[in-house]
Amino acid sequence: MKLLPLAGIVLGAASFLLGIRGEDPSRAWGSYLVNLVFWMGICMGSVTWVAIMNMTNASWGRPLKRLAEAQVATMPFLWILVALLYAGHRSLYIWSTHPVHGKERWLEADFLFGRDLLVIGAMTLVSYFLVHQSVRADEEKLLGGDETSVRLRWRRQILLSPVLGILYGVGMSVLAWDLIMSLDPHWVSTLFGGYYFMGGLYSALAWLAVLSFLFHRREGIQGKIDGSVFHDLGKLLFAFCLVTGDFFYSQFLVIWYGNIPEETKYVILRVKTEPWNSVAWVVLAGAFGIPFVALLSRKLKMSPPLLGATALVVLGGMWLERFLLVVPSVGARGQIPLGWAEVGVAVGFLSLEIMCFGWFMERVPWLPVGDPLFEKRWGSLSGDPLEVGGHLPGSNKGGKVRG
Amino acid sequence: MGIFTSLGQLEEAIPLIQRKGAKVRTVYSPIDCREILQKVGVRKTSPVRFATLLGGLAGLSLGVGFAIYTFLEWKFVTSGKPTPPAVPLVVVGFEMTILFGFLSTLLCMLFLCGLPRLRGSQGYDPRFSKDRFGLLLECDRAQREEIEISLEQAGAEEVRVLRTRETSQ
Amino acid sequence: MKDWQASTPKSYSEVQEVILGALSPPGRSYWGAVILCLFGLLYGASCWAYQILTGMGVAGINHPVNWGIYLVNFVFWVGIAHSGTLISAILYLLRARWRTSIARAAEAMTVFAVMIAGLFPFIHLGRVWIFYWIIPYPNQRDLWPNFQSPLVFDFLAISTYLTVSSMFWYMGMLPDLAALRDQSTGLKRRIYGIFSLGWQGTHIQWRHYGTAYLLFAAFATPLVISVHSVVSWDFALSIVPGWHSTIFAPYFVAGAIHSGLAMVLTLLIPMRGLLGLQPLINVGTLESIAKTMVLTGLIVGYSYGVEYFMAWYSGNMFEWDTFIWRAFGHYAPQFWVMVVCNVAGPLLFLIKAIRTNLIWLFAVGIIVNIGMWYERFVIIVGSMSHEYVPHAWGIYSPSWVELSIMLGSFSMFLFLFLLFCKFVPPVSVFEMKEHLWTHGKA
Repeated sequence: MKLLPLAGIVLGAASFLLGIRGEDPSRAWGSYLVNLVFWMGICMGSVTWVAIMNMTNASWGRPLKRLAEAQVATMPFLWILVALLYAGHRSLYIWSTHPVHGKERWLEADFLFGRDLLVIGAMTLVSYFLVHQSVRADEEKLLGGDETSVRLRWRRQILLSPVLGILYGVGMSVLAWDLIMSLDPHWVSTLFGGYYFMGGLYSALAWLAVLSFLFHRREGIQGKIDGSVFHDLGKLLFAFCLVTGDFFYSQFLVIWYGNIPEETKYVILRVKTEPWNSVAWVVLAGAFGIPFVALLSRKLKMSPPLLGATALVVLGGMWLERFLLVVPSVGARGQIPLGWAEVGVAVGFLSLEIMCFGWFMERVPWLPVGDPLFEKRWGSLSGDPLEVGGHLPGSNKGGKVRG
Repeated sequence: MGIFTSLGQLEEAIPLIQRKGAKVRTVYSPIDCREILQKVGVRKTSPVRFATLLGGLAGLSLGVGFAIYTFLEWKFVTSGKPTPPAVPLVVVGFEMTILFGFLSTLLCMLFLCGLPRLRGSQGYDPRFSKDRFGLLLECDRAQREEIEISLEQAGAEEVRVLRTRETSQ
Repeated sequence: MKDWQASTPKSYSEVQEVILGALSPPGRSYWGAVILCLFGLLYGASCWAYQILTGMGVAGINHPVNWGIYLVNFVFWVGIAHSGTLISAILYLLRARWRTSIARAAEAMTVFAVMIAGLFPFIHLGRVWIFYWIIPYPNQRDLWPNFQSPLVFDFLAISTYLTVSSMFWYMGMLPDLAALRDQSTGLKRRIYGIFSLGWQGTHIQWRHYGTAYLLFAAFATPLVISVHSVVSWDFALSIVPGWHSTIFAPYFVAGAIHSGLAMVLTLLIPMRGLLGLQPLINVGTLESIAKTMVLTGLIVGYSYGVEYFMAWYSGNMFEWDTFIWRAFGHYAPQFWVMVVCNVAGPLLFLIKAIRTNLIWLFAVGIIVNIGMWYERFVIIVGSMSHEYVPHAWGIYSPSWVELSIMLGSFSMFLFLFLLFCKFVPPVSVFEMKEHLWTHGKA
């Protein structure tokens, strides 16, 4: 079982390498970028959700905390992948071969990648510290450790959460402008950064819903993720469906109405011209339409498999949405570039995430027992961290216990 | 009718009197008492939701339909945009959905609650809006004593007997 | 603060007494304040009558600034309204405990602010007597309003918001009006009886009421976002530099909540003191408001930053010039007041000592109110006075008529709010009792 994600990564890498050696390397780089921005949204967004829940004193979502924090494990790899993206900047970005007047110094490969790596690095570090405090607090609590130390760790999490929140908002905006918006360097939308990071939070929430469905019956969770948690998760997902849809519409309406050619060019390409308009309709249905209608139903929200399925639809829709943002601007196309190569690269990224997630979850307690909000609602649990932690299929039961 | 000082006590009294054969007519409460609805045999969620759905859909179709009608009546073409234009109609539809959904929910709720109510109902005590809970039940004359004792056992502050034409003599 | 902890009501009747006690017959200073506000209102109204009779020329609006402080006030008041609904509807859905004691007053603030906001388009209209042309009804002119226009969106959105907010506020009060009815006698009892619609608190009524209230909150929530987005689109759907920007919708919504929360602080801090509601509206609640203001302040700051960055990045010289002019041109003082008050002001709330101190809370509330008013001024007037063509640039200053009407609007708001405080329960009685119920059986 453990080898499966590894195989997926190899498949992804192979598809990608075959693509860049082929006749149209920009197509391969395009699919690389799509998956990269999709997973960045999910991973950064997941840990930001933890920060948000900490700041708002949300006790309903405590059992989900570890599942959300797990995405921190993928972040260093995302940093590496963005660094590797540098190798493809000539295939992807038109400003690298034809510098844009007025923006030469801003849209210049070294500066751009430098600041982006800085931003991702900062987010990764702060996320790491946040999760580190959280996991340590739980381990200390389970080993019957010092109460003051546990409480100190919570205070540190409270201090780090707003820092991460601000970094996420600003950082993801910069990434959106640099990596996605600059694909068409003459196009500008002030809401683009906001749209990207809200979409990231939305995708992260959907990913969390899928993970909750997959793990809610495992021993490590001890049944704490029950119907009411799914209901709340479903309501939040519904709210973010509306928010992301609203952000999309805000951009769309303003551009449509003003009808200024510099702005409409980007949108018309994606929404009105062949072959992209069909993708646009699928995105509208998958990311907004179907989830909106489905999540109105109380029964659906409380049913883990149905909520999980809706969340999968959301994830599919959002992946296609990122695809639609990126790919039409990467090289001239007559056909939608969605073939086996693209599937391979997508599988590769997904496998990377699964592998990192699995690696992380094997080493940590699955319930945030050291978190005062969890304690307030569910009381204290004690015992061997790995017993509380549960086991993933294929891992050895003994495991390491850090002293 | 039993008058209690706490909802918890009233909640406990219900199964006691139900076992003795009495039926709960009404519970009076100054706070939201939906937790006890199951015990009284009523479902917690209300059919008001259907009015919401219907009203919302009506608002959506009315708003969008009307706007499209006005466009077709008097084509106001600006900078080559299509008539009727779909994009701005989202806003119109959205606002009308909310307005009509809200109003239909409101009217349905008032109707189901029996408001506005012109005459006071039986057994209502002005303290019920302040800090007392009332349990109005219906039973045969023969069981009256037993029921009174049960109510007092459950902690009723006061027990009152009201006579109506419906209860058997 | 500790004294108030000790006197927190511990029983339903205590809760009711504290809240309804606030409605005791008011003293002379209260009536003095009401009459003062009434004078302000009448002064504003008479200035409006003067404007109708004399013509729009008495206002300072002219080419190129066709939208002056009437529209600034319109956006300002709609903005204030939104955080009331945020507190009473959105926080209800999010199950935030701290909302209960302030929801009623916040919702009242919303209703009054929307009413006042709704007046300003009429005031700005000039030929007020033809206002009905915007209502879609079959007419001899064979004309319909243009549903594509953001101004018609505005009409629909504001009237929906007014209807929904006032009904939501009123429905929320039904059980409390019944409580008032039950403890009054004579004429008061009749009046409260009529307004409470005969509410009895039966389990059937609570069943439908509870579900309906949740649905009301669920309807009011998207209104918070959509109404101010629609208002922002009055500007963003144009092609005026500085207005045509996709970020306007979330930017305005965040700004609205920011100014509204500041107004909540400004109103509630005196209110709780003067009406003796300290045991119920504790400093923790006000602190939560302050923390939310840090968030909205940061969003507003982010928006300022993004607009400037994109103005440069776009390479559009008109956009860039407008933004430079905003910071260093004729209206530069207003611009800097805006930035300092809206962004730096709330950052003071990061310090716990400041956000738990009533005087600081009140002061920062006023500061943010001023800053947010100037933000609307800078956006509306600043952009219109400096558009594409240099020889069409022009400066606007409000005339005494406009300023008087603005004074009238503030007086009207205070007037209505003062009346609210004394005739209607300023805190939700039954919800506070439910707090006791869930925090340890009463």
